[in-house]
Amino acid sequence: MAEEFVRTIAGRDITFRPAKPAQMTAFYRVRNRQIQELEKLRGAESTTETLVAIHDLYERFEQNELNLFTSLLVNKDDMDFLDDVMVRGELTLADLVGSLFGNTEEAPDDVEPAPKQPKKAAKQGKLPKTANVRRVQK
Amino acid sequence: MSAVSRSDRLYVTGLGRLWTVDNPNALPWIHAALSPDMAGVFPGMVVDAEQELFELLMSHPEANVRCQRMARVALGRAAGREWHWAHNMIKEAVGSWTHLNGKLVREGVRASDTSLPDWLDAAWTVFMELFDKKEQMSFQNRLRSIPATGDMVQPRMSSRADLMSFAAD
Repeated sequence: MAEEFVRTIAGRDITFRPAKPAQMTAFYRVRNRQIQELEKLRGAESTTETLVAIHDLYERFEQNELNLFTSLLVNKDDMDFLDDVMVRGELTLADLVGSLFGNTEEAPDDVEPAPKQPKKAAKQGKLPKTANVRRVQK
Repeated sequence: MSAVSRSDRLYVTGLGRLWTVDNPNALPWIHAALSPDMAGVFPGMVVDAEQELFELLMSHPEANVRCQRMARVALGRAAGREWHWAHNMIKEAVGSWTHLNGKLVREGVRASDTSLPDWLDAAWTVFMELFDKKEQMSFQNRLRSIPATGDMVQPRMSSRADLMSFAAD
């Protein structure tokens, strides 16, 4: 079984249990559905109803994040502490979730690992036959 | 041809309700079956009720274990065989993917447009043709082995015999 881990948030050490794959899968499924709904609402005519629907969607979005976060807390009284910190405006929900799952706003760039040079060729200072480099004719 | 009916949806009961699971072709099943705790199958392939399922998973003390059991049931029903046979077969196939998939594609069997039972049949025959008698026996034993981890509650209606008797009723 995966071990509990500690994160320091707003100066306090808080213990979490790792999220289960099913929990994370369910969370991302809801999130994807909400993003689809949001796209649909943004494409629709801007009326009071659509604005209210977008607002409700954001609220549900945040509520789900909070539910997931809370379910991973080992000591429930830590939530009271975090509530106080959030009420004082020192921490937002996004900060809280980001501190646990990392900031997922920007995905990392794809990186293609460079092919390794064969040892022998590298030693002799020669390029490997397969290297995609044109030799300069003297 | 497998005796299991082909449907693009299948159903599992658990956590107090009936869930609809997507059953398009073999490819998503292959990915989902190998995901941690088979979460890619359940809740990953459940078609509707995302919010309800998420809330259940946040509040129900046994939700994760029961999701895993439902994933096994769903895989068994989609494959028309014991869930662990299908799971082992998928693991074997992914372990030799380049060779196996190459052979299957040359025969016109693509995981992305073949049902899971047909794809499993096709993959099984490729392996059997590849092996000698001794290797075939060892391969069949590997397919029958039940994974050592997790709880071993046998889902209802997961075997071919169960399905056949259900269909006969």
